Amino acid sequence: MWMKKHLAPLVILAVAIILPFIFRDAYSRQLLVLICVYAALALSLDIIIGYMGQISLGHIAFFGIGAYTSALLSLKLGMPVWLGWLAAIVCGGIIGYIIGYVSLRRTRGVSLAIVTFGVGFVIYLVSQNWYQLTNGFEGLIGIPSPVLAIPGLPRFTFESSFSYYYLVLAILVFTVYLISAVLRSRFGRAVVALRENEELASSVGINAFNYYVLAFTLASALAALVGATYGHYVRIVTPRLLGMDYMLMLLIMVVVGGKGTLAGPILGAAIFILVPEWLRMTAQLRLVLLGGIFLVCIIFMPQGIYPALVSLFKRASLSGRLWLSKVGGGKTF
Amino acid sequence: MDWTVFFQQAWNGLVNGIGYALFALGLTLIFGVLKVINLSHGEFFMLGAMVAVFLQKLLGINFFVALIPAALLGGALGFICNRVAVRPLIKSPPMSTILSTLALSYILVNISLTLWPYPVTLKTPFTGVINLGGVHITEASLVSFALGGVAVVVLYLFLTKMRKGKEIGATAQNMVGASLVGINVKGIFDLTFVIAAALAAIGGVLVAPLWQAYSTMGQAILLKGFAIVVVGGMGNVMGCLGVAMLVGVGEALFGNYVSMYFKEAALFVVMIVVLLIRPQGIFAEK
Repeated sequence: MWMKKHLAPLVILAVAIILPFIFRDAYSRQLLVLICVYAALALSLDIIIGYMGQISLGHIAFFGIGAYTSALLSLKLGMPVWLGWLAAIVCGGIIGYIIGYVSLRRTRGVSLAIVTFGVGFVIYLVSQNWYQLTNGFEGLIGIPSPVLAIPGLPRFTFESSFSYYYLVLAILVFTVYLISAVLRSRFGRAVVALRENEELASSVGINAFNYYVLAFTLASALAALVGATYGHYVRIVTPRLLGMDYMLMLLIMVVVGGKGTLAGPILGAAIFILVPEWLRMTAQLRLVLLGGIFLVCIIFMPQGIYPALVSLFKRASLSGRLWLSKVGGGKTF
Repeated sequence: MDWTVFFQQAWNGLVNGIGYALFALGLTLIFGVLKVINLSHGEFFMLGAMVAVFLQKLLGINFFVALIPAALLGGALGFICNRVAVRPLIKSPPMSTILSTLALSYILVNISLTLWPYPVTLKTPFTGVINLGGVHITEASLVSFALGGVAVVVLYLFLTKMRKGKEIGATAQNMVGASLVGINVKGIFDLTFVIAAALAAIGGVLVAPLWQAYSTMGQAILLKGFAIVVVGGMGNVMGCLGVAMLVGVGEALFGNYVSMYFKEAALFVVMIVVLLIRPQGIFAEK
């Protein structure tokens, strides 16, 4: 039973582990790292979009907060990278809690989208204009790589894409595990109930505000952690990371991949990292094409690619069984 | 306190304010009538400026002549936007239209970037400067301000005096009621989009000689437009006009006396606070 239930995720994980041995060049490995980073980030946004049923247009700001927090701590205070990551989680969580606490009391839906849009933009402006701290447009450079120094073992620096891939893969697995565990808990079920019908859920004693704020905080803290890991990989953090381009990309990954599912955002991240790379020859026009794919998906496939694939597969297997039963002389399976 | 500096900044702010107003009025109209947040509105504005750029660079036509083709093209783009990105999703949750108009905006910006990648400052035939007791008023800014003012007055008269304009108001108030008394609501949606987009395109032409014309200018003004719409009360036309002028002047003064770098941030903080404390806007009656 355990095997059957966990077979698909375990197979996917095994494939993910051997992928860098198949794609050996630095370029492909870099893409693999990026896919893991964006998959984890998209999953954190999916907490808000898919499970809370709200929309945040400022989520990318938390990615930036995490990246800046950890980078600044390791650059200016010489703090070990792992502690910086912890600080990024705490910092992202606290700011997310404050923003969620203030905005979720009154606003939902469209208003929340505008508030988060505004908050995200204010944070972007701060990262760009607080020159003494963030070094403005040029950003922070020379961010150190994480070092693993366990006594008795040789020091190991996560510098190559190869080693970093396993690091971000671990974070992606952690994110998936965390979200699926939360979904099974009372807290997660309450959030999903709120998405379905806030008034009804409130009437049976679910405190909408508390659960929403908590979910928003969790999403923010996760995004900050991913941001911190990303900063120490590319080793340069600029305000561009917090820009609308990345926010749009992230939204596309979640919505086109399939919101409210675990596989959807991961699939979305993989597609929208790889497709632009393959379309590289058309330069600017590939962005036009990307926008076009996004638009077509929203109109014709509002549930996203992954749920569409699942229902297609189900229908195919159903009609396959019907066909088998017909040729099998009316025997039903 | 140096009053000439104060009035100079206030004038500059008023001129910017009329640009913001032309942009935000359409945004608030679309929200009021269709209850849709149009994230591609900035591209109508950008289109206006780009039409002026192309006409001047390719044909040598003065920017104010470009107003007419810009308004027509803007209106056409508004119509297309409504039919492609909004109408198929009008019954879906609000998130769908937010995302679809965002996607459309992304497409339009990148098309524009391929066609015209670098910023242009438009030449204007009005080069004189009027000195009003130490306050310098360029003729270019005066012309833009006057033309923008005319556009706003025309919109006001249309909405309050003409039958179609009143139908827009009726649809904004009560969509079901409007359709019950025989108003073609879908047609009103089209019309609202056309008018809003044409206004934004006119705004884009008018600001092109004062600010710069560039492909991402729509994205730059979009957030400001939202802030204005929210503070003025979403769907409230007069509130929007008042706040647009206030924002123009307030921003110029804040930039001069407090901080140049954080003038935009200050505006968004005001927007967030208004949205949280008084979501109906500062000019609402209740």
